This record gives sequence, structure tokens and C-alpha cells, in this order.
Amino acid sequence: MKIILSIVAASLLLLISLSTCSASLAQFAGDWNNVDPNTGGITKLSIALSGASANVHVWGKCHPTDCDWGGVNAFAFAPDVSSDTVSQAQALMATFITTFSETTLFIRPQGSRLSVQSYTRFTDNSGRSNYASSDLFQKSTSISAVGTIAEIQPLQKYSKLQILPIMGKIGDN
Amino acid sequence: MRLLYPCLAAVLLLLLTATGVLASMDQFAGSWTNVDTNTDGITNLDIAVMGTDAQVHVWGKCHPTDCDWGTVQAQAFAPDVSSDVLSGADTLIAVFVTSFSQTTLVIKPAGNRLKVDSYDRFMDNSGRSNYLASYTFQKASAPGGTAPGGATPGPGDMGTGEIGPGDIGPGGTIPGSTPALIDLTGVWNCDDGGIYYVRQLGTVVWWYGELDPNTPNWSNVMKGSISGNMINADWSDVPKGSVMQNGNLVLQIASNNKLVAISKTGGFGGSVWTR
Repeated sequence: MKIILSIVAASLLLLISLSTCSASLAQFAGDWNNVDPNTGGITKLSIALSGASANVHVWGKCHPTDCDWGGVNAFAFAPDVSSDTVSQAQALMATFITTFSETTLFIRPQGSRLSVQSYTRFTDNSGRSNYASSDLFQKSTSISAVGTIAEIQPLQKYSKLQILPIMGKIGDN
Repeated sequence: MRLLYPCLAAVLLLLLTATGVLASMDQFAGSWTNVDTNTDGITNLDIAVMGTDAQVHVWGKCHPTDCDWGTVQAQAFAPDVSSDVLSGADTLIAVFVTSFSQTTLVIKPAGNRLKVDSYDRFMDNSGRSNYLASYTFQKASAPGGTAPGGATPGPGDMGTGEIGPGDIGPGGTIPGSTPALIDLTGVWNCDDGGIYYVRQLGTVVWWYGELDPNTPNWSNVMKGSISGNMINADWSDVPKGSVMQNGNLVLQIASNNKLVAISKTGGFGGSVWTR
């Protein structure tokens, strides 16, 4: 039993080490789906890289098709001031601004997934509470399964006014 | 043994639930000290709460006394849009802006401690990398205490562009408002692979740098003057090496043991010096 526990602990340690070592900007690239298919918040992310730059495209839960928040340039963060961001980026920060709100996403790798902390602040004095949410995303497999990128895009592009609040009352806008 | 695991799981669940129930603005209030007493980053936080408003006051590592970043209004976040922020706040976000950087602090309760993720972004085209640092804070033993080490630089220092959150980095410290106390004299290594022999005489700094002591590809001399936490310098290659260039350097004294190039001309290769 002790041997098994030791092996498991060593394996976990190795996995954690590997995860840390492999942190890079490339780790963020691709199409990502929320692991919770019933989320009321962000459903999909698409992260495109160009050198040390990253563009984050977000879709949020909407009916009948998801809402397109659009894409914004994200800031990448290295472990320290003299680290190379491309090879060692460990977080992205992306901010989406509408006429009535500001949502900042902090995106970090978590194994083969992405952990996304989302902070939405209302700027319209509507009295709605600023709120935080946390989601996990896994790499999308739908591109290869479906065959074309166009088929995984939202069918309808909504205005930002329709996007938020994710959990609030629409009438408050 | 079979009973032990369910019991442990139940206790953990209870603890997690209790933590969640306790989340509120009050949970952030007070004076907080970094559990890592050797941190090169944020050393102390003071969070003042009034209703749903929170003011976050930060001190960063400096020599001989910590630097005062000043106070900013923080944004509080509840678990959802209809939650009461006062009783349900689970995150504060505070943004400190200087003339050359922006630092966003994401502050969350972790049991009876605070976990702080600090996202530093440089806006001065200095080539320094944006970076993320994480800290854990515990309640300070002396309530109401300000920065450790006695007198601290005033909040006005934040506006000079010379002292601020952007200067903090793992492996480096922030310069204090008393650079005269810094002595740069010594042997330094640079990320260009060279060794630099530095002499500081008051506010004047000299160095001789070379890639290799026997047959250096390049070797150079520098003379600069210290102003605040910056060094404005002229440098020139000398013919121990074969490269012959010259130019200007603006170096930031990130700490007594770290220099960072803010701007450089003439094709100078190095950017960060440490010792």
C-alpha cells in the first residue's frame, strides 16, 4: 500500500512539474469549450496567437444560438520581468468593454485545460452587483469532427447589449 | 480505516462550506502581512472597508524601508449578479497605475488568509515582460500598523514614475526613495553573458564589462550618473574586444542587486544585471 501511494505521489509530482515546465503562449492557442455544457456564462473561447500577441474571442450563452462577444487583444504574463513571454507565459488577461459593463478574464492553464476567472463590473449605475465566475475549458474537438470552422461559429452575432447580464434581468439594461 | 476517509471528507466539506458562508466584505478588512518574509514583491496590505466600498493600500519591498504604493479604490465582486456584495463578496480587484506600468491585484480569501495574484503590465515599451506573481497574506499581528520599518516614502512617490508596482519582480526589489544608500560597487552578471565590474562613487557609476576575460568578443566601459532610481549613462566599446560601438543607456536600479535597462542605443545587448 505504501509503495502504491508513493508511486501515485511521485506521478502527481511529475505531472505538476511537467505542467509547469510546459507553460508557454502556445498552450493557450486553439478553440476551447466550457466543460459544463449547461453553463449560463461563457460557452466557448477561441485564442489565436501571433508572435507574443494573443487574441481572445468569446462566446456566451444565448438562445437560440450563443452570443458572439467578439475578439480582443489579450495581455500575456510571464513568471517574472525578465522571462520570455512566448516560451513561459502563464496567464492571459483579456478585457471586454460594453456601454454598460466591463468584463475581465484571467486565463490560466490547468493541466490540459484552461481555467478562466471572469469578473464583470457594471458601469451603468443599474444597481446590479459586480460578479465573479469561474469556468474550466477543454480543447474543442468539433473542428475535426465537423470539418469546417464555419460550422462551429455562432449563427447569429448579437450586440453587446444582448450579451450581458449573463445571469441578471434583461430589463435592467 | 474505511470510516476515516468519509470522516475526513465530511470535515473538509464542512470547512469549505463554512469558508463560503463567511465570504463578505468584512473578510477582507484589516492589515495583512505577506507570509513570505523574504518576498521581493508586496509586503503589506491595508484594506479599509466601508459598506460595499473597499480601499486597498499596498507596500512593496524596498531598501531600507518598504515603498508605499498608495491607496486605490477596489472593486468588489459577488458570486453572481443578484448577490449582495456586502455579505457575499468573494473577490476584490485593485488597479495601481504609474506612468510606466499597471498592476492589477486580484484578492481572494483563502481560509483566514488572503491570496493575491498580481498582474504587472509595462506600458513604457521598455521591453520588460509583463509578469504574474502570487502571494499569500495573513492578518498582521499589530492591528492598524502601517508599513514595516518605520517611515515610508509618501504616496506622492507613486506619481514620479520612479517608484511603483511595476518595479517589483521576483528576484528584484523596488528602489527606495533614498538611492544614495544603495551601493552598486561590485561584480555583476548580465543576461548578455558578460561580467561587469562596477564602481559607484556617490552618484557617479563606472563599469568595465567584458564577455570573456581572455579573448572577449566585446568589452566596454560606462560612466553614468544616478538620479532617483535611474542611471543615465554613456557607454563605449574598448579594443580589448573586436566590436566597436557606443551609445547611451538608461538603467533602472530595481534593487541593490538588480539593474534593468529601460532604454539603450548603439546596439547594446544586455538588459538585466544581477549580482
